[in-house]
Order: sequence, then structure tokens, then C-alpha cells
Amino acid sequence: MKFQIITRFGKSSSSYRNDDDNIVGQGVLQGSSSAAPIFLLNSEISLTAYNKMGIGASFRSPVNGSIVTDHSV
Amino acid sequence: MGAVNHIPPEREITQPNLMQLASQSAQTWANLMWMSGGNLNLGKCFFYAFTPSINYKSSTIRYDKILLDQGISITNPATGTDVTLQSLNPDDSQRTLGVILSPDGKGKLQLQTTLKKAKEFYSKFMNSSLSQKAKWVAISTVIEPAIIYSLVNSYFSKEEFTLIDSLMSQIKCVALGLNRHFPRALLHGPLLLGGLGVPPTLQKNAKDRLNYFLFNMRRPSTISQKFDISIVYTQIEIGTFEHFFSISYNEYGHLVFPSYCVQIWQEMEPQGIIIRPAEGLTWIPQPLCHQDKVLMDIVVTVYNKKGSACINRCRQYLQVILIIDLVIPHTNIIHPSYY
Repeated sequence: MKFQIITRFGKSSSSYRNDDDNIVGQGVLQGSSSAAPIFLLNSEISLTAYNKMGIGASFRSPVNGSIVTDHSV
Repeated sequence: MGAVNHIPPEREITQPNLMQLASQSAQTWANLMWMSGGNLNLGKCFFYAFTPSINYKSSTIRYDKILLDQGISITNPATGTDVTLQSLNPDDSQRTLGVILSPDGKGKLQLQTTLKKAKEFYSKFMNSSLSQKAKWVAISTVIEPAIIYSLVNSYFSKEEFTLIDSLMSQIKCVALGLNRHFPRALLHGPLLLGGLGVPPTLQKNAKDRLNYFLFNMRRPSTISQKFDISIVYTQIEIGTFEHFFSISYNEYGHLVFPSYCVQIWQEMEPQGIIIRPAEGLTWIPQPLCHQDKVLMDIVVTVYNKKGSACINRCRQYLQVILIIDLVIPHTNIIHPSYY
């Protein structure tokens, strides 16, 4: 996606974009209306994957011995 | 993203092992972020490694930082360089989702920040030219929620909150067109007794804390399961047949260590609110026969708080609840194995 700034003087001649291979790891960039849903989608998948692959912390009930394991908050 | 103590039984629990597993988890998260188009800012990442210990004299829990030979290190997926994460003290507070928290549970820094915020609100409010109605709307929709939001999960005593409560009461008086020194008994007093029925901010905070607790308890999740475990531990610490939420915090509160549930129990008593769990929902010890007497029910009436706390610790060590647990059956003699 390519971004340009428009003011009363018109459209900016230069632009920035998030598919530039030279600038990696910049996500979907600030200001993009698709940023929030993409972030949600990514987070959901990443957290689910992390819950399966991570180590986590366990809490044991002193009465029935059941264990609750949490990986992320 | 979580602590590490869930270790497969075949692996020895050692400090390097813990750090290795924590590094593995952190690396997994960094890789997942990288894979989905993000990049974890490793300069902002940190971790806590500490051991809790109980001070029986003061009935407090102390958290000591573990001095590590080997910390948590991650290979940055973007650059391929190794980065060692910063290790913090358990009392170092960090801002998380708008709340300043530290693993030792102390909310001092959060209280200081909230107090600063309340003072700013106060000075702006006193010089405001808003109409009285608009001022009241500002209090209920902006000012009070902004003050309370960050305190729902923080631990503090009533005394520590006094200054914030006082500032908020003054702001409320001004919004109602009253002198800021208007008697608090009338401002906060119930309508039935001729008061204005404006609850103090401390009370509203307690209400929000209770709401959060009930919301999570009624919705099965890992949070409700952890609350369940915490409640059972407190019940064991008290050692009565009645659920601790139903008995007096003033009489029994010194027997337990602080927790979120204990804080709710403490805050509800002055409001006259008693929480009763649904039948069978939480564990409480059951008497063997109707003549059984609970040891701690007798101890709290005979000994002072310090003495009864000492006896309670011995009781927990011996794993007894009833008088009958201590004596030889059909006699008044304490069983020799207990001394």
C-alpha cells in the first residue's frame, strides 16, 4: 500500500509504502485503515501459536490438584 | 509473556534450565512477530526473575531478585544478532496497558501517578468556567473514570488513598455548587438519612474491583480458575467452615496473606456487602460431625492478633482444622505426634 499526504497545497510528490523490501518489519504503517484488523488477525494467530509452542506458567489447586497453565496475558 | 515453572517432570528444575526455557519462549514470540510482519523492539523488552519468601514475624512476603549467570538472550530475526534482555528488580514498576504494575504487587508508583493526575484535574477544575451541569458531567464521564481505571488492579490501603479521595471530594463539592469544605458526612451520606448520596472515590474503586472479580468468576476462563485457586488458598489459611467472604475481615484478616480476593474481602466489609459463593462452587472444609469445633474460631477469641497468627501458622504446618484433629479420640489429651 502506498501513502501520500494531501494538504491544501495538493498531493505530496514523495510517498512511503509498506511493501518496500529495504524497510522490513514496519508492519502496516500508522494511518492505514487496515492496520487495526490486520493487527487483530496477526495477534490472534500469533497468540494461539505462542500458547501451543510457549512454556507458560502453571498454578496448582491445593484441593483437587488441577493445574491451570497460562502463557500470555 | 508469562513466567516459567511448567517444566516437564523429567527435566531438573535448575536456574540455567529456567533461563533456557524462558529464552526459548521469548525467541518463539520474537519469531512469530517477525513472521507476521512485525518486529519486536528488543530494546524495550525486559524480564523479572525473583524468588518469593515469607517473613513470618511480620506476615509479609518478600521478593528477592535472582542473580543470574545467564540471562534471557534472543536472536533478533531481522538482523540475526544476539540481544540479551534487561533483568529488572521485582519492585521495578512498568507501564502496561495504561496501568503501572510490578510483580511484588505494590501500587505505590501507580498511586503517586494517580495523585499527580488528581492534582492536575483539581487545579484545572477550580479555574474552569464550565457550567455546573457540565462540571458534573465531566466528573462522571472523564475525571473519575480516569482516576479509578488504573487503580482497579493495584494494591493500596485506605490510608494511602486518603489524599486522592479528599481531592476528588473537593472537586465534587465544587461541581455541585457547594463549598469545597462541605461536610463529608453529608456529601457521602445516604439520601435516606438526609445526605446527598455521592459515593467517595474509594467506594467507587471498590465497586469496580468487585465488578471485575464477579465478571471473571462468572465467565469460565483461566482467570476464573486462578481466582478459584487463590480463594482456596485463603480458605486454607483461615481454616474455618464458613467461607471467608462471609466472615469478618477485622476478626480474621490478620491470618491471611494479601491477595486480590483478600483485598475485595477487606473492602466489602465497611460497605456492608457480603459475597456468598453459589452452593458447591468453591471448596470449604466440611465438619466430620456436628460437635466439631474449629480451632481458629476459638483461638481468635482468646488470643490477640499476633498470638493467633502464630498459632495459625502452627495449625497450617500440622494440617489441622478441628479441635478433634488434635486430640486422642474420646479424651482431652493432645495427640503426642503434635508436640
